[in-house]
Amino acid sequence: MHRSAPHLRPRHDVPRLMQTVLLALVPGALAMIWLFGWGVLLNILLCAATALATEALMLRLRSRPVAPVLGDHSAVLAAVLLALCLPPLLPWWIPVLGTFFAIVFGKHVYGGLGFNPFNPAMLGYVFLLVSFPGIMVLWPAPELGPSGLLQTLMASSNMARIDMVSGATPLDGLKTALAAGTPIDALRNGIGLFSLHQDSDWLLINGLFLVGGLYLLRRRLIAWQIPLGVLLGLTLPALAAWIIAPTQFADPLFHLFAGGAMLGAFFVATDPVSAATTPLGRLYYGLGIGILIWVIRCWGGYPDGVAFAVLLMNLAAPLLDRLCRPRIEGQP
Amino acid sequence: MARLRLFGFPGGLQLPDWKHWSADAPLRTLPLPPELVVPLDQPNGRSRLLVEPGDSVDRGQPLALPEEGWAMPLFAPSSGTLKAVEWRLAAHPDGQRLRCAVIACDGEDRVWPGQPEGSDSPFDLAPEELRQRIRKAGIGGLGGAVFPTAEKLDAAAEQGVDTLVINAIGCEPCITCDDRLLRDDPAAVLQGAELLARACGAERIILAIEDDRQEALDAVTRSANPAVELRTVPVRYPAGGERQLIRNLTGQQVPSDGLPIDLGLLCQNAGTAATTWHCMRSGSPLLERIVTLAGPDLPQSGNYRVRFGTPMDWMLDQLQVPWHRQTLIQGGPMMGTAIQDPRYPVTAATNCLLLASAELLGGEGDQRACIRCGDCATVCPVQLLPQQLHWYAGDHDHDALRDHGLMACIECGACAVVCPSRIPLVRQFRDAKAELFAADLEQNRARRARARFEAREARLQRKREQQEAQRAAKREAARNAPQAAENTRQDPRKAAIAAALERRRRKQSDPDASGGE
Repeated sequence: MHRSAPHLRPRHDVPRLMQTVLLALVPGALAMIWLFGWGVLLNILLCAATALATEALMLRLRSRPVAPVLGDHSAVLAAVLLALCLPPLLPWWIPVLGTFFAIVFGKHVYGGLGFNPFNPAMLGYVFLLVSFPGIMVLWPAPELGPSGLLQTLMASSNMARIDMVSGATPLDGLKTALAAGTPIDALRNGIGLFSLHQDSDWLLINGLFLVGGLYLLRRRLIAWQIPLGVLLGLTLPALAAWIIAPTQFADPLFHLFAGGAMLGAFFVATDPVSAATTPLGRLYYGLGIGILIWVIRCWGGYPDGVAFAVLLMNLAAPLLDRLCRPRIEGQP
Repeated sequence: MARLRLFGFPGGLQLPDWKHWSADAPLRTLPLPPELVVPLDQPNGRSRLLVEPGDSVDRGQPLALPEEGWAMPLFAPSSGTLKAVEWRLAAHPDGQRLRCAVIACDGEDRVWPGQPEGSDSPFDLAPEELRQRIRKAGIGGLGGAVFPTAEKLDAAAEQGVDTLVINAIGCEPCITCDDRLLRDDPAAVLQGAELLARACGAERIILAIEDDRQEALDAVTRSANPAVELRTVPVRYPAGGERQLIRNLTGQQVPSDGLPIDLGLLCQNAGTAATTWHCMRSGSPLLERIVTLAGPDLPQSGNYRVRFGTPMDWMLDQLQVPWHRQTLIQGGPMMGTAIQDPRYPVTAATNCLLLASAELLGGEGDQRACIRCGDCATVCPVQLLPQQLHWYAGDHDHDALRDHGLMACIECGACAVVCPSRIPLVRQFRDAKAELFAADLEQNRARRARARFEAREARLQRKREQQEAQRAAKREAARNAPQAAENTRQDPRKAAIAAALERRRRKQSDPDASGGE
């Protein structure tokens, strides 16, 4: 056996990369559990378990070694990202079905990790969103105590249909108000610059995902061009529209800290497999996602647009890479 | 020393240093081995043996002359008897075997009587004379590639260069031979640099060193030579690559398919400069080089002057290095070659012998599918997209590989060292390059074969048409025979004229019959 240069071997690997991304999700995920109850945790557990089982099943069906691939944590990461998009009180089979779909049709039909053109988590989420629109957009906030746990388990096991009262996210609230013709200033009862946030829940969640994302940037585990692109792509049109018509459009700060903006910018759009891979292509890819999020939020049929924006730009990634190749040293 | 502006170069990365293993021991000289092995086929060409097995040889006696490619003349590194010509496994990733001359040393190290006189003042020699002497002394680049120095100087003199860059940057981990040379023999490097500049007509000389080699910097500054500009560059791999260094110093990019002399620059390694100085002074050809011996926790680590042909296993045994069960690498951990047969000798290319364990270099680990993280593209000093090349190489998509600049890859290994999926990118790119070469050859062969085939078809067609025309003419002649015979009887000349007129008439009336001319 002979070894070929370079003899020095890489110091980091894919499993550690995925582990670190999972770690960076923890603060935001904890905040979501605290604010939305046990359902969030239950979703994470259901999705992760389903992802591992599905991954193992698919690898077996494709006659591939199971253990090394299960150990790369990529299925768990996709599952957790999907779970963090789901509302807390759902029948158990919804997260399971979504994850199954994500792993099978988002990943393995293309050949597994590295070959999937779409972000598996977003594919699974969109599948659930278009199939079960009614329950997928309601965000009730049960208590954290034993009664909340009971309520969650009952919802999950389909034993009781929960009366969902306080189900509106800030994005929902904005959409409903605008549809009803209410001027936006009537909604400004939040704090300071973030006055459009009805309560600080989503502000906190987005803030913590931002912290996790900055940690990943610092560790150089994600490409900076993508989150920068997403945040710019969301900010610039929002700013322009808000300056022109402040009564009909939300301010950019609201957009940046509402819904899945930070989770999308730092954790979803940065999935390297389905994103553009050239430096400039990544910036355009991010910008495209940001702009699409804003467009879908303003005029789309769903309150948030992160998943659709990411999937649409996944389609454009190969083209962007073709158009944005860096100039090779020593060549014109 | 003014700190001049640097322009930087794209990509690159910080590697472990590992220079402290070998940098601090002063230069030592390795004794002569009982047996010397001189490979006759060099990296850049082949050569023809001048002596027969059984002949006695002296130190510096020509052993072989270049036959093809960019080979250099080879000399007996010491005196003794040419024992045999054997095949040995080369220090080459392909694992090819090379013809090697084996010399049994007599220990006298007798100088060949025919060795040319040295020059006390080489600066008095004319540039052409200098280049000629450098060629005859068999001096090649000691940075690792061993390209004949005289060839580079000739091309530079012919094309005209204004700047000579002396490269003393050992950007790979472990290698300290140039650092140690600058510390222990700075005058030779500086004088040699001036000599090389004179030989190629360069007016400006830049000596480039990494900014963390403080002792070397001090040594060079002490032996102050106003003709040589000292420039320091930050430590970043591959800062010592010729193209990266030129980009860093001048901001100019050497064209992918060109050479530094296209920009009016010539690069030479510091060791080459010192060797040129010593060889020109003594008249001796190139017979030895400085070799870094490096290993973690290896007390023998250091730099040694080693005679060419010294078998590596003998050198290690002589120094009592426990080298069995270790990976032996010629060169550094980034671009070096794993030695498969430790009996292979030290040559001009042996800048470093590295003894490394798997723990040091990092385990093999599982190779996984590429996740397109792009870390490879970030560190690529040529601004390639290794993640895309990897994809196209797997598809054997030759057009896309060419389009994405595979041939501009310098195989520095930066991409493979940062790959979290542990894909052996350099190996893959080397294979893909070979594939492109083979495809080019095949295409040329096919083009030639097609041209040959088409020429043959056209020739056969012409022949058929000619035969057809001749047959037609014969038939016609037979039909007109009685009349012709009569004419002939009357007057053969008239008959010939009549026949010619007849042919012409026929040709004009029937254009189809005229084909084939």
